[in-house]
Amino acid sequence: MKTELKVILSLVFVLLLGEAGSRAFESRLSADVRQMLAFEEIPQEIAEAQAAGQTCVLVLGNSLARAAVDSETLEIGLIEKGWPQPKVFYLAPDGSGVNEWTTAYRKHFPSSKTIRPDLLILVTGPGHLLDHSVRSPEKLSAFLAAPQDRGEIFRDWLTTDSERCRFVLAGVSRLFANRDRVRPLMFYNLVPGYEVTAQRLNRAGREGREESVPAVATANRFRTLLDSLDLPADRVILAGAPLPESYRLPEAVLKATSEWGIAVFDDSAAAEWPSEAFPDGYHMGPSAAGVFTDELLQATFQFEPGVIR
Amino acid sequence: MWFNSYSFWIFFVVVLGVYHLFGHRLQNRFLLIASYFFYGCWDWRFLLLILFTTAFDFYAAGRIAASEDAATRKRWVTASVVVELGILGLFKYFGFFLGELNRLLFTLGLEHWEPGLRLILPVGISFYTFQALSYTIDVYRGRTAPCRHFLDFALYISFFPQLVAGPIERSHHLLPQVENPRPRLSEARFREGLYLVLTGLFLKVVIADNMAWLANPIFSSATEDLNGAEVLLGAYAFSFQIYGDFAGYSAIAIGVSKWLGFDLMENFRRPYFARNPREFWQRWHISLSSWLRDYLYIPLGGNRRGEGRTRRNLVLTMVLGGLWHGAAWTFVVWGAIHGLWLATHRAWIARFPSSQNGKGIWWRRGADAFKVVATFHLVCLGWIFFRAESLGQAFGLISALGGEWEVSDFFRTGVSLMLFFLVPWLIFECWMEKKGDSFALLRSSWLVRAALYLYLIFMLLFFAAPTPVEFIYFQF
Repeated sequence: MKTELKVILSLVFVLLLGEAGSRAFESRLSADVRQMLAFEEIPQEIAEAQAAGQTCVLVLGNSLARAAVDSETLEIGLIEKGWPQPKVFYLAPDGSGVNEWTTAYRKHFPSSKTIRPDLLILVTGPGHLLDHSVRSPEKLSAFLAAPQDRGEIFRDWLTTDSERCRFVLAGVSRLFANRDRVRPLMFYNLVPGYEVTAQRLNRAGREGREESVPAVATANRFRTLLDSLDLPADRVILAGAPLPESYRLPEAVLKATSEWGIAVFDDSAAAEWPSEAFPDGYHMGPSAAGVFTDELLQATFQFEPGVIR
Repeated sequence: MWFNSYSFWIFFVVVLGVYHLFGHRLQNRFLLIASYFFYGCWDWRFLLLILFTTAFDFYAAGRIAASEDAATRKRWVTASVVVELGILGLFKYFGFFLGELNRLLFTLGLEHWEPGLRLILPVGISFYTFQALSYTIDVYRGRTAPCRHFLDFALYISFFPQLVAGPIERSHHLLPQVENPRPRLSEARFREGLYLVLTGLFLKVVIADNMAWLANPIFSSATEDLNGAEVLLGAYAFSFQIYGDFAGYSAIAIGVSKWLGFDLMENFRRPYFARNPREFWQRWHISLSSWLRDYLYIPLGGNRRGEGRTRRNLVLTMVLGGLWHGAAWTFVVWGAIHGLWLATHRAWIARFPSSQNGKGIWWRRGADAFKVVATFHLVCLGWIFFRAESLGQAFGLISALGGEWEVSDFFRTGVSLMLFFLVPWLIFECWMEKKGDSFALLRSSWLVRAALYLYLIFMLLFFAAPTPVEFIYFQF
């Protein structure tokens, strides 16, 4: 197979080059990759801040959380409530839900270590805390899963052979893990009108696909997340992120929060917000985020200064 | 277990590894088990049907071969045809005909009948039924000797690479390969298989799925919301979706069979380079069109009984060919369009025989290019009926083509994406067409091959469609 061996070896060589390039330059692929790589530094920064006498707030969620919780408003509000030099961190990968939040938290705040935020604000949309299939095994494998969790994820969380293969491949190859980022990067920049057209095309694709929705909504993974937080209940707040259409958090989620004794704030999610509050039609704009964060502070922060730690 | 799924490739790697450890007889047994496992992955109940088909046709062919009496032979071949077409009719067309009957009864103001029975369509039934029929008919015609071993025959019917979507093999081509020792995996076989598998995956995952991504919003929109340019975009996109989908499946099937020592028949030969409908059907789904020719068109009389009968036979064959694709009027009309087109083309050629002698090379090339473009557009017109959910939608889309034309942002972006995905592949097909060789790449330098494979892998890795689509022909 001499000739074909040359073909295959040259393919392998170029793919290895691509792998090296992907590892070296993956942070340039998207803001999401940059922030996920930066998650590694959060525990260390929290440890240093706490050692310097600062209080640390971790916002856990996705892009809804990043958009809705305004760090400046939160820090000022906490100072007004007597918190010493509060600092806000975001553990909020794009397009994530309870699966990604659980594994990302367990990776960066493992039970074997004592570093914990002083306060955790978990920000969710209507369905993000309900049990659902893993959306991106690649992202979970390459960026969010701790080595000790990989076996459990492979065995119990992933349900199809395809998901398991993608999980394994993304674990060994960054080229594979980041492959979905190349297409939008190229088309959004090079094809005029792609953004609008892609929305129409993807909408049609979603409508034509049958989503497997469980008959009864459950929140078992959310319970796993609450167990994994390893924080007293009064240091955890669950907030529903406002969306263009108002909603209430699901019953299964509320049941788990009442069992754990966690403060819940979803009045704002149930309120009608003006459409200007969502400049891109989904995420809150900065001024609306300031209002939401202020409401969140007023409604849920009953702590006395110094009680937190 | 689709060819574009990870599960299939894990399955195939295991099968390939174990298969080459065995001698011929054990290879056959192992392939049969693997094939039944492959088929049972969809629904184990389908296995009962394929077992029945296998057993019945094995027995019928045995009786045909054992008898010298013409009447007995005819009785058994008729039984085979009736049973096979009966099964196909029951599972595939029962619901359709019942629905049409109910509609007729309702129109006449009569009470309609709703059966409690709901039949699911077994995967690949149209393919293996036709393959089984070709065996009994060929034994009857004396073209094929009856298979001596039941398990060999079972493998001929259920050979997993081509079981669910073809190519529809003939007994005189595939059966000897089952019965006799096959070549080991040589460099030439490996090279051909690799080429076919990579191009097949590219055609399916990159071309077909991305074209589906473009075509689906058009065909799922209300026709009054579409302008002519958008319908044209949808028709173009679907024409390449169905080509990539089916040609891709066939290429993978032939490629993996190469690695197992089998040579399956070619199923697609750059069909959109055809210059007329006759040539199109010599390049598109060759295994079906040649099956219809050998077992339907020729028995109907073919071209032996005058022009009128020939044209009738062409239309009838193509209408039934259309119905083979599915139980819907859209497929019947699609078949009729092709039948009428073939008949008209035949009449045209008889009246105006083509003569390009004495014309310059550029004139001839120009004329050929015009014919290719015209043929492609008529094929696209047929695809609108093939893809449409109903005849009403198909006519609505065609009338939108003749209505207002507006170059919208959606159209512009769609065209840009089509060019991005299709142009490199069409250039490659142009090159093959010029060489007149589907395997021209294998005769070029290894560097050229490596460059093309790199492009294919690059596209597979980074430009797979956002939503994978199942193979269209699985439902036929």
